[in-house]
Amino acid sequence: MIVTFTINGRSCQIDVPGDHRLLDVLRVNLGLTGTKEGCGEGECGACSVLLDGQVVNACLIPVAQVDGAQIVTVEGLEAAGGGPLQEAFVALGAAQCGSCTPGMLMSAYGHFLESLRNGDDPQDREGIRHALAGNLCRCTGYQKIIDAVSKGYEELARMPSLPPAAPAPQTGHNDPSHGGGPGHGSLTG
Amino acid sequence: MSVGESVARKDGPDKVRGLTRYIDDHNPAGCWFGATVRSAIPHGRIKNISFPKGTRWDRFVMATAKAIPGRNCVPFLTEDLVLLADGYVRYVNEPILLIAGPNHDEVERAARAVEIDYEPLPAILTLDEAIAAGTTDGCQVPRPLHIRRGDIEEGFARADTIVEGTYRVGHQEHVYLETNGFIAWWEPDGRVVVKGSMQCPYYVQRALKMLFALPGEKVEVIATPTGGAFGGKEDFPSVLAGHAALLSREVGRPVKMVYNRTEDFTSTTKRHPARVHYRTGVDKEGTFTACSVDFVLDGGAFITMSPVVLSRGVIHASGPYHYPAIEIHGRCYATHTPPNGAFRGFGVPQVFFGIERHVDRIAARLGMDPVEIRRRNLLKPGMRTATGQLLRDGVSAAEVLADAVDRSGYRERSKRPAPGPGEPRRGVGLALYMHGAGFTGSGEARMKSLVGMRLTRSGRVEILTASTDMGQGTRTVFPQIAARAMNIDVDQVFVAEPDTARVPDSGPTVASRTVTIVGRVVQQLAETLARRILRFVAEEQGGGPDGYALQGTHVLSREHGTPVGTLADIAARMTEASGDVYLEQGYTLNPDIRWNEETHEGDAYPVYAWGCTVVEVALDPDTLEVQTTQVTASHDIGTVVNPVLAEGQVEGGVAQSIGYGLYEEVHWHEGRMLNPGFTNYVIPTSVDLPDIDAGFVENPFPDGPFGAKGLGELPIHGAAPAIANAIAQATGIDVCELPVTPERLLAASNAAAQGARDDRHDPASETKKGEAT
Repeated sequence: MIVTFTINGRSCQIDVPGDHRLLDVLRVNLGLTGTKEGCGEGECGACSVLLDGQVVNACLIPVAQVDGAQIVTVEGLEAAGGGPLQEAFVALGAAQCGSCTPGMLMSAYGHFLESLRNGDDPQDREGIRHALAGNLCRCTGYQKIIDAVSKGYEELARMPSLPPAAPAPQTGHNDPSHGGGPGHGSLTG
Repeated sequence: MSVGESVARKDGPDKVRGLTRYIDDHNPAGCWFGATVRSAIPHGRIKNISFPKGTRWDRFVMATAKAIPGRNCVPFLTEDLVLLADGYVRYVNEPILLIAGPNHDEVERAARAVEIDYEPLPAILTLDEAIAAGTTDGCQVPRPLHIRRGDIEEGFARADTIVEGTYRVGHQEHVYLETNGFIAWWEPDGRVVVKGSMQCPYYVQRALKMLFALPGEKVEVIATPTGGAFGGKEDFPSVLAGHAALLSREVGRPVKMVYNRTEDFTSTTKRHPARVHYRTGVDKEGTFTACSVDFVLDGGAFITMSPVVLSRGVIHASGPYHYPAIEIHGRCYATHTPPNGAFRGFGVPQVFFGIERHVDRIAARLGMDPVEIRRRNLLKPGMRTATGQLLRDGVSAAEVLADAVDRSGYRERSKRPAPGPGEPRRGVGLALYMHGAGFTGSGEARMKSLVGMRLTRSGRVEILTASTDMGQGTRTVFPQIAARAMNIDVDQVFVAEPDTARVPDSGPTVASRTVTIVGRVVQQLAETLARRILRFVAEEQGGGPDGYALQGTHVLSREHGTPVGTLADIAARMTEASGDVYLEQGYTLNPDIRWNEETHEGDAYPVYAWGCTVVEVALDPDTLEVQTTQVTASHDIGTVVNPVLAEGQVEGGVAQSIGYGLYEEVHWHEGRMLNPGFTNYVIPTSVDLPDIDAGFVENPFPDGPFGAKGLGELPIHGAAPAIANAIAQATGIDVCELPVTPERLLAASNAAAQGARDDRHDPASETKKGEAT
């Protein structure tokens, strides 16, 4: 079938069987090998991508399901506004072998966007731990990952606006009591 | 001054952008895919292999052992392991037949369609069965090892109390996030090239030389960025590289083989299951008088790395303690299960679970404080280890113990008031340990690790080494060491891709040896290169080499403190004048090191690194689930080259040890792994771990680069026994087997209750010198 979707801000149309995994379409058909396969069963999170602003495991998504959707992979994370997370991962030693890193970053950025949508404080450390619980890492003990996510969120909160590639928040983003920083009230979407 | 600084890892920017290309990210033009047909039974003869109708077999290419042009052997310490089973299988999932085709999914389906008839033979499937049987048909075992020191009988005779205990651990899977994978192809000139995920390019080269009867220059092995390894890519990649190369030879095209997670779980090596028995004599004051250790490993169906896993376990089995008399006996049995192999710690986590549980049980029996009994018996400078090694400097057992106890608040935490009904039981436990870095004994003298260093025309320094980066940071810390030795910017230095056609054999990336052994050669080469550059400048500009110094990206005149040229300009002129500026050097082991391999006597390692981990746990009184709530670690790894990377190694090691202690268990049925997935082989997630406080005590090692010892394996020794000790403190339940699952806790609790009832009628338990098991 012909599937049309937006990938990292660019529209894309491909002709593949609709039951092919989004993961294979990204890696094989589109050559976006940044998204990793860790288990193929939705257990490890290495293939996490953003699908319309939500974190999904690309190994569990038949490509037919993404028709008309917006997808962001690690290759598009910087343009989508996640650059501060990437910088923090490098600076604080959150990437070791790097296999879980792309998925971890996408989950972290997804959690940030979701926190904004729900009016939650993304900085809550237990909240970060739960948001990343579906992303397995065998190198770090998660300590430096959580530290880096937290630092990345700080930087994100300082940014005057997120780039257009970031999906628009739906609710609660103006509530100053959540203390997420000045970024909350000025998202442009 | 880049040693001691947290230089950001050089491969970090690519890794966070998804640009790092691991083996599965390569797809050469015209590449076919390979799959493996494996044994369905643990032991037996292959009667027939058939290819049923329904598959277009002519569209595939196959290879069996008959296709191997050289020897059907993947050599490690012995030459027993076969690349492909030839008529006879020794474990479930042993590879029998390889199949390749142009489409990945079709190849997988075809592999499943192949039918094999067997004549099953009786199988030995567990360590207990192997011990009972004595031998395992079709399998070899390494020779037993024995260490004896002091007068054992006299030591036990003088003991006031003797405490015995048996401790058991099962398999542990590495769970590197990137599964094993290789791409192989043959060049028109008859060279075979393999690239893939690995720790030891020259091990793979050695295997391919034997399998294809080729000289070294006809075998090129390229290590791609490796997505975690932990020992799991020390031995097994030689097998998979052999499979891919054999298929490629048959097909005449590149062949790619990347395991899915299930195949990686079921078919690759794991940590050796073990049983270790301690019998320790102790006097009234809590000083050890004698110790007898019996250490038994399950090696699986082939020997692979087992002799050195056994040796390392035996050498470390006395722990960080001094005994006037000790005997250690180690044996490895074979079972009809997949070969067990290298895994971070290499036989040592198994014995440390035993020792550190046992020491706590001795303390409990004497009514002593666990810290005090350790303090009383720990190794100090001037003492000898079980192998008779005189410890001179770099002994930090006392320091790491004090540091971890202080920073964790161990004392306050051990005196918590009893919890109310339904409240979690909290306990705190610790473990003290050490690890010898580098190969055992004179291994490093035999290895003579070669490293190359080149000054490029543009004034950059290239380090050529076979040491791979599997996430631990080789590509960052080697440049730090070289930059410090030359006093140049760390950005001026880079590490070449590990490719056997370009880099010399600096040995395998194992045994916590990369920084302390290979890094030492990097340091020495950098010092030599710096002198050579300054000599060249002196010849050009006049004066002696001492009149000049390197700094950052320049050469300075010492007298004026002003630059006389950039490194780039000088390098260009040096290469113009004398061609390629390339140095190569091997490792020289300290000649004072004496080791007797036969008797296991002498200096087992040039130096030990030391550690102490304190873990606090909360145990749910209803479900018996255990959660770690605080971890404090203290490690002496000598000079810390890169604090952030070193902390990352400690935190990751602690996490793997928590997994070993609480969650990770391989379930077997008739020799087949029942839980080859993340659903039921459980590793710690971000919500299972607490914050980990990783601190260091720096006790420099004079023969290491700028004082660095080895690090990689050390931090995996502590958390598992510390957890079991914390549970014992919280509940009084003596757990002597890992992982401490709720089921195992319940069984131990019931057994203890039963034992208490029996004890009331047993007069022996009242005697002064009773033995507790």
